[in-house]
Amino acid sequence: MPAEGLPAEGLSAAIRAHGAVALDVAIDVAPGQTMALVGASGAGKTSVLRAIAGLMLMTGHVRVGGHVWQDSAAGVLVPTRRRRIGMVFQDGALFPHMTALENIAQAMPGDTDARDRAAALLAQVQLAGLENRRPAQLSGGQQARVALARALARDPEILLLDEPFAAVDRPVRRALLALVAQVRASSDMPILFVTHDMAEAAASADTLCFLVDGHSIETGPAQALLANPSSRVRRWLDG
Amino acid sequence: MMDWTALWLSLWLGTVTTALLAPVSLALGHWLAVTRWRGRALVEALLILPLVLPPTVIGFYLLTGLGPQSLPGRAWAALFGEGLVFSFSGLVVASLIVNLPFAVQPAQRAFEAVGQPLRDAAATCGHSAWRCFWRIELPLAWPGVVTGLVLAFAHTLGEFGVVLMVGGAIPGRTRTLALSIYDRVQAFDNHGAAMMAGMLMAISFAAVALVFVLGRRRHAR
Repeated sequence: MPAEGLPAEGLSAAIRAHGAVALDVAIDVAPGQTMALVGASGAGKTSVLRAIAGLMLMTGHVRVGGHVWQDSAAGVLVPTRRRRIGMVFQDGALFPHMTALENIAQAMPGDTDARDRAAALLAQVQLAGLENRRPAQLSGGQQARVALARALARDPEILLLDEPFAAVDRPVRRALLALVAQVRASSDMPILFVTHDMAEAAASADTLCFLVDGHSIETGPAQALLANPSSRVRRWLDG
Repeated sequence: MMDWTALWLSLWLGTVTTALLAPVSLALGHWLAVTRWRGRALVEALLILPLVLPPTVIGFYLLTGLGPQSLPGRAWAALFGEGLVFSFSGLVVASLIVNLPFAVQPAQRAFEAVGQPLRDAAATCGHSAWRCFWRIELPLAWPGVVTGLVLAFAHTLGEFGVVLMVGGAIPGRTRTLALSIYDRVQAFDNHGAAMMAGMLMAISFAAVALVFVLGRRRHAR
């Protein structure tokens, strides 16, 4: 059940965690909206994504697409494999012993049409013809495309992008961001996007969430926040 | 002259030990690679003990721990009609313990090399831990697992001190090739000892060469 007053199919999360980075973050992303998590290295951006994916211990709640994935108060904890997540990891995390096609098909366990659907997804990310290449035989940009296709293969309820294109040069990154924009235009799933590149965040996101030391210091519409930053955000931007 | 019975016994002991260590090294190596349990260091230290202790010390503990007065020794005798010490079964138990670090350590390192990001990616793809093990981790880690088993096999062939103490070098029952070489040297039969030593060296060289071939294959990934 979606929580009262929250978007029916978006993301609502309140995350508290104690670990390498202590987190105390509340996030709401409406359906079809993209939020960029921005902050310095070690601010907890990746940890927020990992908490939503169920890859680290946290308390609080995570609700996505009307489903409760975690609610510590009610004792609900859905394991990662049962959460319909599309996640692109920082280094791609492609399975090195598998071809591009097999990598994507891994996200569709038990699906009899997995290979056909994986081939269609490869075509969607403009990699038709490279089905049988292994990750080591692909460029950084091509690996990022395969990782994006794999993330989309589960028909996810949320897309989590952890600095997915950090390892590619600017022209390739622009092309990849255009691909994400296409996905965004054709789906109403929320997208959460980690970056430390303000220009990229401003160009790709509807809302921004500034993280400092595991706390969200400011959240709001991207254009408004950047046009008229609060003193705390300005301090962070300056420094 | 070659002691064919001792050669066969050594090969059989190596084969049985390796076959029994395979599931143990998979399970223990994987668990040690992924567990965050605080007691992990103690388990690792315990596993390494057979490498650093003198074989006579391990042999002594096994001799007393598996002897006719011990609980395992009595239970074994009640079940199978013969004691563990000075028997082939006793040799297998001793070999398993002595070779545990040879088999488990390379497997553990190989599973560690797979890395948490790939396990996380598999989980977000909907894989259970079991499916992730078979589809992702084992296909990437198998050269390390096999390396450990080959090392354990080769080490079993050459094991001397523990085998002598637990087995007693009974011809046809517990006298392995390494013990037979020792007996020949004691009897001034250098020709026989040289033949058996050459055979042991050839088998060990082949096993170690296989380890290096597998190592190259792993690094080529």
